[in-house]
Amino acid sequence: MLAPTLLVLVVTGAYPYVMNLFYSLRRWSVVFSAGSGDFVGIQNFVAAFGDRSFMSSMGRTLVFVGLILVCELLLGLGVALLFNRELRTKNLFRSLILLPMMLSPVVTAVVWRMLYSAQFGLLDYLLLALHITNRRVEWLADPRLAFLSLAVATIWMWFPFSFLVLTAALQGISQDEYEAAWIDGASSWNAFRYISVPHLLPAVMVILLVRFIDGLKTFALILTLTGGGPASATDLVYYHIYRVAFQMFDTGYSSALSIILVVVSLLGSWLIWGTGRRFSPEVP
Amino acid sequence: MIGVLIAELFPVFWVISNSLKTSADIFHWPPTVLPHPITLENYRYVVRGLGIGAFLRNSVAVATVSTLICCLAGAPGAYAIARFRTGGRGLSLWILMQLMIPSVALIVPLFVLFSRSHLLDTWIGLAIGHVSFNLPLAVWLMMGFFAELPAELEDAGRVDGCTRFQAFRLISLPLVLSGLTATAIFIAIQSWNEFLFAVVLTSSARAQTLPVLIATLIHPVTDILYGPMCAAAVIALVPVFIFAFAVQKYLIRGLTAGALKA
Repeated sequence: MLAPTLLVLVVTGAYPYVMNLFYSLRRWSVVFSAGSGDFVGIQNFVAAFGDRSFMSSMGRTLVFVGLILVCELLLGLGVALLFNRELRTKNLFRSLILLPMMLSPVVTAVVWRMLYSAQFGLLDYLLLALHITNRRVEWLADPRLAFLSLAVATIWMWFPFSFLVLTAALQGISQDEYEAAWIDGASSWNAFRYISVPHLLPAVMVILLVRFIDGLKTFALILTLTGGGPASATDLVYYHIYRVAFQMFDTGYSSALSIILVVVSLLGSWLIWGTGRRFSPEVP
Repeated sequence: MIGVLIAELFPVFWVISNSLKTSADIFHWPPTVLPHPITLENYRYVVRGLGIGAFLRNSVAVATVSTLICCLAGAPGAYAIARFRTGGRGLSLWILMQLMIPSVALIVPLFVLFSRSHLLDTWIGLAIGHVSFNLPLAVWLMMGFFAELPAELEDAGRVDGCTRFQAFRLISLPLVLSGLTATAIFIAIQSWNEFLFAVVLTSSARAQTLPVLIATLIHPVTDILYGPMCAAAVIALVPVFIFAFAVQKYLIRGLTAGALKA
């Protein structure tokens, strides 16, 4: 019964992982050398920790993910609270809000490229018209801003996810608790803090975990929007690995780097999950 | 509230509007919101000058084949895991992990494998590549749907003489059909939007999909053609929007399954 699934899974899933491990222990390039290259043990892994560009891209990525997590969560929460009432057009609204998430990252890149353009972009026009700046801002070409621009585009794309999960969780909270609190004279802030928040924590955990892992994988947006950013400003780790593999053709090293990334994401997930469990008994 | 919706969706609307503008209109300062005049020249260019038809065809082919394989291979497996706990926690954990592991770890071995089996730059090859990350997702989603079915129905069938597979085919499958359809559409959207594999595993219009074309429009060798770039983006997003709207109820249920306590 299970045989076909297992077969496909193994061939497409397990085999590449094993091969990846295999490659990471070697020093070779798929383009320049036939065969499998020379065995160098863990040299690739050791080299990674001394590789300044890799380590800084890793650091940059962690900062980036931290930033988008916080913003997506807050934005999603805000919108979820705002929309948390009975509406007849709820389905339409929800599918509309869902849209940025369903777009291809390439399409999102087009969208934001148009907005960020210093020549005809709407963003610059608004800033100038409102006299917030007096010069056109180079969102994508300025090393200091490119990182933020990428973050904003990513947050725009993904906050609907946080909105959806939080809305679902909000609707699962029974109204009785709120009524009881209101009868006892609780303020809205207290009601939020002592009733809503504990019930929302499992949902927040899900969002943090999923988006953490996904955020580490930010790639398409970087390739199409900033190309690694002016002066490596947006060179995040996934993109970095891609470049090592397909522009520098150092296949063995890139395999090692990807394994390091997997370890980091597993570690990070475990940390987030552990912290969540300590904060709330409701988290599984 | 409407304000939030407008603010969120305005960028998309602006791209659609830009795709209908003439080149002069796009560069107009201050930037205009609505095209004036409305022109289809960008779309004409994209269809005739760039041959978007080939890329569209590839995208459709890859998405269809990858979805088919995932559904056919995934459904029985999902059923077995949900119903009989085949493979125990290990297998379920493995499937979950496959969702988590960045696909960049997959892509180099796949690239090597494909180059040695002459599957590079073919849409079939790309479809198979897509299966590697779509299948765990498909199985995970379908597991949820199968788990919701009461086992008594199948037991009733077996009492009447069905084999396990017949019970699966004649009883369980029809009941989860709507859920399966939603899963299939979700996976199709993932394939349609997918970029990394498409860029790495293909190199010519023989197999390249829409996202790759759009990417070359964003970073062309010569001048950037903003109008056609927007037109191509619109062509890529319209099917997604239609499908997403059709299945939003199931998508939301599937996405939020982890957060709710039934």
